[in-house]
Amino acid sequence: MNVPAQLHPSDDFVKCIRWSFIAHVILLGLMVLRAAFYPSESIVVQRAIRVDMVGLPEKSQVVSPIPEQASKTKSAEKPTEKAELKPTQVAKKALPEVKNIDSQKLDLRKTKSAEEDALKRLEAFKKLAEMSKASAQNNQAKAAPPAPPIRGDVLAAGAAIGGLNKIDYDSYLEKLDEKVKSNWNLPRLLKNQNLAATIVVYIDGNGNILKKEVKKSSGNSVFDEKCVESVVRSAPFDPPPLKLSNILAVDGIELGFPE
Amino acid sequence: MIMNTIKDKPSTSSKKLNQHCANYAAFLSVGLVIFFVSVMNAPIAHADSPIHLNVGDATFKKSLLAIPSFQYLGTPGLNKNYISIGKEIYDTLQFDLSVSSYFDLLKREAFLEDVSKVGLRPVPDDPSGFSFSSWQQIKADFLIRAGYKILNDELTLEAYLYYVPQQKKVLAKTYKGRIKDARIIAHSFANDIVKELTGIKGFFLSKIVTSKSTEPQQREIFVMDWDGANMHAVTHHHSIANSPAWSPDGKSVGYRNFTFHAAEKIRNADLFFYNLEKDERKLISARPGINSGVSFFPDGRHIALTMTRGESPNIYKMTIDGKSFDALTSSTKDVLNVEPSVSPDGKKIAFSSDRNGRPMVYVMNADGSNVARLTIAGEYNSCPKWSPDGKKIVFAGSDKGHFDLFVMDADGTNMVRLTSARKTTNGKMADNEDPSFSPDGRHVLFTSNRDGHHQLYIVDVDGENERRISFDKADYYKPSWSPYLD
Repeated sequence: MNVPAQLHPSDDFVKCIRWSFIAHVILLGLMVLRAAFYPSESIVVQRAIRVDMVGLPEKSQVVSPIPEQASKTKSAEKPTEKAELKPTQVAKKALPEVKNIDSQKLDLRKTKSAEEDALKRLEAFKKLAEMSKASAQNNQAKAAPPAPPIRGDVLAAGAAIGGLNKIDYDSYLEKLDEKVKSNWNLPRLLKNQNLAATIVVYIDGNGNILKKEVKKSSGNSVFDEKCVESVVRSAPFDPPPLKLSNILAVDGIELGFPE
Repeated sequence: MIMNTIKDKPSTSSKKLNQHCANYAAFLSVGLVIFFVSVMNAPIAHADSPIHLNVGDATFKKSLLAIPSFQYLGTPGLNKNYISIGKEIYDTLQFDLSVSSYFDLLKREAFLEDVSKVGLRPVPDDPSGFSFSSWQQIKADFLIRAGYKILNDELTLEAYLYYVPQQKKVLAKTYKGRIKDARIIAHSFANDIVKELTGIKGFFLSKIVTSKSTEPQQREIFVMDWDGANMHAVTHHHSIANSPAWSPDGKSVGYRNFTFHAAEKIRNADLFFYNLEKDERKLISARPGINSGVSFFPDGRHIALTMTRGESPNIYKMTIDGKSFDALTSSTKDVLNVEPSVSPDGKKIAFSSDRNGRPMVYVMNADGSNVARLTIAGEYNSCPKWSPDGKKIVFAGSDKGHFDLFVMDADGTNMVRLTSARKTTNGKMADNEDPSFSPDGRHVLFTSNRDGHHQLYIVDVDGENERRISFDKADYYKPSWSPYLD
């Protein structure tokens, strides 16, 4: 007898659904209002930096002479009084200076060895990459049916930017950023004037510039001109990845000079 | 009864269900609100806010500048010297702008247009004017066109600066003066160009005061334009005058001279002021021993200097009339505290001292408290001078038997070597000493013996663009660049 009662929902249940519906409508309204009054911030794509945790402490010791100097300043101040009282000790007091110079030479050696280490590390990375390539080829040879190449971008045609797509897009945008940066020269006359401008560039599927506009002027026509010039000089860009090409052609890409 | 109970049961269970639903709906809606609010707070690329990239800092280049010959607009017959006067204006302007290190000058051979046949203004304004396209073709960024005329003793310069890529006139001005003011007119035009293009005041009307050897064992104080022109002696002690410094208003210089005191029959290092406007000398301090190394406080009412007063040299703060003083350092015998340099805000004093064995650069508060050592490296660091913005200190340092100039931040960090030169005479490393900042802080004046004698040189604060500005067989000591004088 319970079964039919549950199958036919009571008035209470309908009420419950209605409340749920009202709550959703209110929520939707809130979202619309929020989107209208507080537009979200745009994505800021910055270069990913690979940090080698092994190299850091070593270098910071070499690079920062400030704490070293500060501590030496203190220790160096005190013996003065003695040196003034006993002239015979002056020669001894000069020793720390020599040590300082020695330690600086050592530092030089350290930086040199650090450089060498870095070079060696680079070589090691290269070799590792080669090794992994070779092993990958070996694995492919061993596997009976060769695995089809992974095509993340094609598979995820409708999905959000993420995974392999994101890596693909990031590397494309990074390249584009590098290219524009390499072409961005300013006259020395504009140094230390704290000027900033934003340029929007629209790029077609072949990497050519469709359109460019100054979105936020610096107020200095020469500065704006140099910003646009750096973009024009960087074209044509590489053809953008499939999904990104739509965004670049329709919405364009904002370039902040300097940010 | 059974039916009733059976009937009752569903009603109670539906009530429970109702409560569940209400709870569920409330939970769901709260959850959704939290979810969406948090999602909307995350940055999402909208259609109206495209992807944003930061390009970062630009690399800076010098601008290409074309300065074709100046046209003579007057009647050639009236003044025989019109060619040499025009050349003086031209050369002065060209030297100013090349030292500024904002510009690379285009060579005359690259010019496509014969400027003697076209006007000073461009074609649409002046039908017989010059055309921008011939300057755009050789990639000039800026073009200076000027003409001058001489009428009796009056010299008039009509000058224009154009920004070639935008075909725009940046500056148009007429300068008038006497014939002997030709250099001042050129410097004024250069100042206007730099001010217009950078917003920073040009230093081209500033001066240099220096000690210079006149005879063996004799040095006098000389004043000259910053580019070495118009050099003239302001002292005639026939003794050794040295260590000159500018007062903050640029109207006086302070210096020390070994003066013969007839009563005691001794030579003493006395401190003098010389007023350049009134041509007037004043003895400030003749206390026994050294009264030297003057540096003015920005208030114009106090100086810092080194005095021995029969003991080891220490640094003192003295009133400008020389009447009262306070000791800022108090080292005992055999320790030097010398070469004070008052910071532009008057709050700190940089100086050199060998209190720890070797002469090093130190800094202290203007009342002598809070002494801190700034340099560790090297064997002999001396002659510290502040940059006009108070952010940097330049000094002469020796580490391998010769002196070079170094610039560091005012806290002693980020030390950079500015100079390194070999002597043309014997190939050994030359001494580069006695630095002094330009009024805009972008250049450093110094002496170098790379060509045999200690001559005056200028280098950019980044170590580039070295230039010699004195050309004689004398030796220069302790040059000091004036503040802005205009």
